[in-house]
Amino acid sequence: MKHEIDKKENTVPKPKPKHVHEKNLMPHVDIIENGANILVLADMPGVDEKSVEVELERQELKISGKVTPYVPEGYTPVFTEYKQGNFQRTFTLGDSINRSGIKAVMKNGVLRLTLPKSKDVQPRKITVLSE
Amino acid sequence: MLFANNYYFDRLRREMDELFSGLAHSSEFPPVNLYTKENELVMTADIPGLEAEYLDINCKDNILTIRGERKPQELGENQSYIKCERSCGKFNRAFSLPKDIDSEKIEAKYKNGVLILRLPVAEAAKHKKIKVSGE
Repeated sequence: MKHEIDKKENTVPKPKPKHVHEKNLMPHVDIIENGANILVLADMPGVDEKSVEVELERQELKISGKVTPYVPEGYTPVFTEYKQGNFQRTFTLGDSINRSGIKAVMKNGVLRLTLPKSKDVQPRKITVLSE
Repeated sequence: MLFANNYYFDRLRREMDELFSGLAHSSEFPPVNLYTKENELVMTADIPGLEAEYLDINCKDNILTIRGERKPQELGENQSYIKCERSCGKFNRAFSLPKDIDSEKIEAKYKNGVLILRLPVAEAAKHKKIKVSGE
């Protein structure tokens, strides 16, 4: 499954260079898996539950967050070590997900997404009958 | 407010970071942006995933330190990482503030993973407009 995620990842458009407000930054994520769930943690500082969007279309998961620049107009930058902008990232999942069980929580700029794997993916024993 | 020489400020900042950062890991976490307007400095930092009470901000002798810890996700039974891009661990950054900042009046706000610090200039050091009288 790891290979499948790596292969189709990073469909985010390349960022424009040298601009303080850059479009579509890629959030750093942690992806944790066990037999029943996939847990995705994404760092999106400046995003709250109203400005985050999670879309799942078949096997493609898209996370996006809108950031309102948090420094008011009229200030001059002295030095800037990081860029501000909206976040977006897309993943292709290897397993099919049980949509009704998806849980998404946004807290302190971290999106916590629990994706339960659908039952057909979990191994099931098939009884063989004889004629 | 003298920021004519950014290079000097930048060098001072780096030296302060090296002095306080201790072991390995980046002395550059969290990354900060510094903005200025007449009589005020504003510093912002992206530090997602912390509770406000675990963020330790101090200012002494005009040295501002930002300290805290990002705890890693505890793994449960049969859980394993497929991808791990988010850094975790303790961080500690120090900045040497210009002398005219009033450290008693520093305000800090932490919301949605963003830390915003307002660093006002002390009353005595503020720009005072001098009235010109005509004859």
